[in-house]
Amino acid sequence: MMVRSFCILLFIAFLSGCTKHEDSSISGTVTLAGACPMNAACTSSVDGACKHDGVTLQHWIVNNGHVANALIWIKDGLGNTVYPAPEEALTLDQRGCVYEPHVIGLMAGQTLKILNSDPTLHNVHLISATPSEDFNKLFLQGMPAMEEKFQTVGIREIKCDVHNWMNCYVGVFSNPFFAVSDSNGHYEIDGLPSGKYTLELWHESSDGLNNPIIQDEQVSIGEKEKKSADFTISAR
Amino acid sequence: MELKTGISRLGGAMPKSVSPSGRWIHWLAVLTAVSAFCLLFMGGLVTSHQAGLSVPDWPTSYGWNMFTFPMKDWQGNIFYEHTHRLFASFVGFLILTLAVLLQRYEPRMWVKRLGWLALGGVVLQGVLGGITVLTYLPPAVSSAHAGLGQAMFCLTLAIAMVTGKKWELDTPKKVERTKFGVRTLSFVTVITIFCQLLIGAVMRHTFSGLAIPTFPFAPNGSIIPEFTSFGVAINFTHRVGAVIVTIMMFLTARAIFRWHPRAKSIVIPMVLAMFLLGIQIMLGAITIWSQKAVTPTTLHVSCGAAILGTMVYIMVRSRHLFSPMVVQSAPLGTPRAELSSAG
Repeated sequence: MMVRSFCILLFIAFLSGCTKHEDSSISGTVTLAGACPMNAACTSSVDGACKHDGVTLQHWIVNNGHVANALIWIKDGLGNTVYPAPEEALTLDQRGCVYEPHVIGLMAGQTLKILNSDPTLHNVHLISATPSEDFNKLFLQGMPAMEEKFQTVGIREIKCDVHNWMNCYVGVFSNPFFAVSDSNGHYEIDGLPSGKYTLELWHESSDGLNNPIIQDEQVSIGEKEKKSADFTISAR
Repeated sequence: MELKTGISRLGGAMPKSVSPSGRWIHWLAVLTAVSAFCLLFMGGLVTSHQAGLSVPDWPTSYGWNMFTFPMKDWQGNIFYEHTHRLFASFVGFLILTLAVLLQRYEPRMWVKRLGWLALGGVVLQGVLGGITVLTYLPPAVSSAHAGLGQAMFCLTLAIAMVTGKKWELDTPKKVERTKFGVRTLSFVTVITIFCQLLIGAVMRHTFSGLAIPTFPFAPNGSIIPEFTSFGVAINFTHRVGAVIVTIMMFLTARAIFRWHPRAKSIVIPMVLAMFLLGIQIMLGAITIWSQKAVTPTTLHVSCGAAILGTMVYIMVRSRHLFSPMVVQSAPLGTPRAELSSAG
């Protein structure tokens, strides 16, 4: 009996492994063309709780020419498939008077849990392309997490007006196929079915929340295939 | 007791140095005008630091009553926004007191009305300030808040002037018809400056201050930029406005120096206004060259208010001194009240 059960489990594991391997992925690196602009230094001493060295705007986080915090997503090619939002909440923390992470992606309807780990107060000011969605909420130290859900696709900015240098971006998507480039400029969108896709890339140096820097990168991908799509952006 | 009603003073028994509404009301009005000017500066700091939304709620501050919000939490930009609110409350209290005292002790109905007008204005100004916070600083409301702030400063200044000793002691003079140009010119100049300040407010609250990032020439090397956006248009309008204001002030100055060179009460303010104009143009240039650094930008706003106030002073004083209603010249030092009763 035990052997039989073990075999069934083994078979299920094999099947799930097969399913996993059927998925394809697109990965690559985001590179900055030309010299990296300096991020403006911030006067974090305006709040004793934030005072620490080297606080700058996080406009350009570049490591050996590779750009962090770029949002890459599938714009076209997924058809009319509806993807349910994950139950799992994503966390955005205010720690050391900076947002962690600086750029975050989530699905429409997914919960964003905003924390304040600082011993000082912040305000959470959402700016979106749809002004009716905007809000500005106080967030005193020690308050419980604030939970937000965004129902419409698009990129939002969240900023703290108490500490001018604090801002971050939230990309909201209708499917789970998006990624944020890491500190080495690397990104990976996995779990993709085979198909022909159009990719878009947005970075905060873009001209507005609704203007991706790269709008029409075509990538065709087969089953179990790993494709590479590198991007080069310039400082503006 | 220092308190004396204006009615008894109009009878002529009071010394010339006492105005109808009493010295202390005048000094309260002066304090109010000075405070209103300081409030403009503080409001300028709020915008320069982009601190307008650092306190998200109104009229409370982070859920606290505004007056009990703990000082330890006045961190970062909250300091600018919250002190602006507190000081605005102080100015509101001063204006309320002024309006009540003018109603009680001031015999001139039109001065009483100025007091109530100021009170209505400061209430509206407070509500506008609240609305702009709760609606996330829409440019129209924020600009209206900035414009009304300037108007309130002018109004409190006018009240301070008309309740002063000098107002009563001023000697209205008979002047030739052509000399009335100062009255008209100063009025037109005040209107021009106010419009220029409104344009500046719209430019500031639409974040268009650097829409033309170079000065005096646009990036295309010409004085006239390429009009690619509303920001460029409003920025250029502000530059053109500066030229018009300069011309109007020179015309007013020329009229004053030509027709009333001995009228110190308008000559000296005119010299001051021209000096401030030079400072203001320099501050405008530095604002652009410094990429809108907080200090020159805020000083530019404040200096604009100072020029407006100085020209309002000249306008009010000249309309008082050179009233066409007065056909006879009077000996120097004859109180206006006596002239009125004589007429």
